[in-house]
Amino acid sequence: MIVNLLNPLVTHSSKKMMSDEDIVEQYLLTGNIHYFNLLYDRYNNKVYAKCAAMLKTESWAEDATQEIFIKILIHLSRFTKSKFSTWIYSITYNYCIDFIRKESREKVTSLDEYSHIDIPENLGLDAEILEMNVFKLRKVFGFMHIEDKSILLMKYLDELSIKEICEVLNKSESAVKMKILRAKERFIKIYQQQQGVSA
Amino acid sequence: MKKNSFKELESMIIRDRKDDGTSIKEQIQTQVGLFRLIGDIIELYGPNMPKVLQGFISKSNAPALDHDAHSSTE
Repeated sequence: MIVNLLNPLVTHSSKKMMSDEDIVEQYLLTGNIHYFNLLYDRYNNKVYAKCAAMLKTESWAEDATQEIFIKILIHLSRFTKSKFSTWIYSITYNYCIDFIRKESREKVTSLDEYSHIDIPENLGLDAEILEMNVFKLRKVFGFMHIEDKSILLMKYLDELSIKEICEVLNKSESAVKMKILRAKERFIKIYQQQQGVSA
Repeated sequence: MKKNSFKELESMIIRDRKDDGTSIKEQIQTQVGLFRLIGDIIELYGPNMPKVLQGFISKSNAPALDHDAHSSTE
């Protein structure tokens, strides 16, 4: 640690092996921007890809990526959760959802009313969604609601557990399960409609 | 390995990205530099701020006092 404090640039190879959480700790200790750059290099493409999948244009996605990383930098000292990637994705999803809500003034729908219902986690749609052609997936995404897109990305791209999704969205487990179920159903419905159009 | 169209979509988006993220990185660094400059200025002049303000107040009061003194002699 003393070596890192004195000359953080020398230990480039060791930095590559450092965990995200260690890098955050070092950044907070030293204030050296190179530690933040290392986190940026690890996550910028992943954050951009999520933004591009959720937002309408590439320029929105680029702007959002910049805003998200500034937010991360400002709030880095507040990072207390065990997994850094989940925290960074949480900021990304919530930023994009807020952005689209502001843009289109979408009505916020609460699903907590479903908290008493026992919802099955998997209705067998997973394989159908995961094995879809990537171009068709992109097309279907273009017609989807931001919240549906974000929850499907969390589940299938980031492979977050239900508990982690609950943390990201600050919702109950039942609400999250219901959101996933509804998102899957709407996804398949749009996909089938698109198939009908193209047929 | 199982197919995952979402991971394929992510790879496709990254591959098609025009910028590799360098310009965003540079802009963030510029902003960080600016934040730090503002922070340094506050750190440097912050403790002396009450004295500086006191100086401004006493200066702004001075002509008024002179004016009062001048008018009272009249």
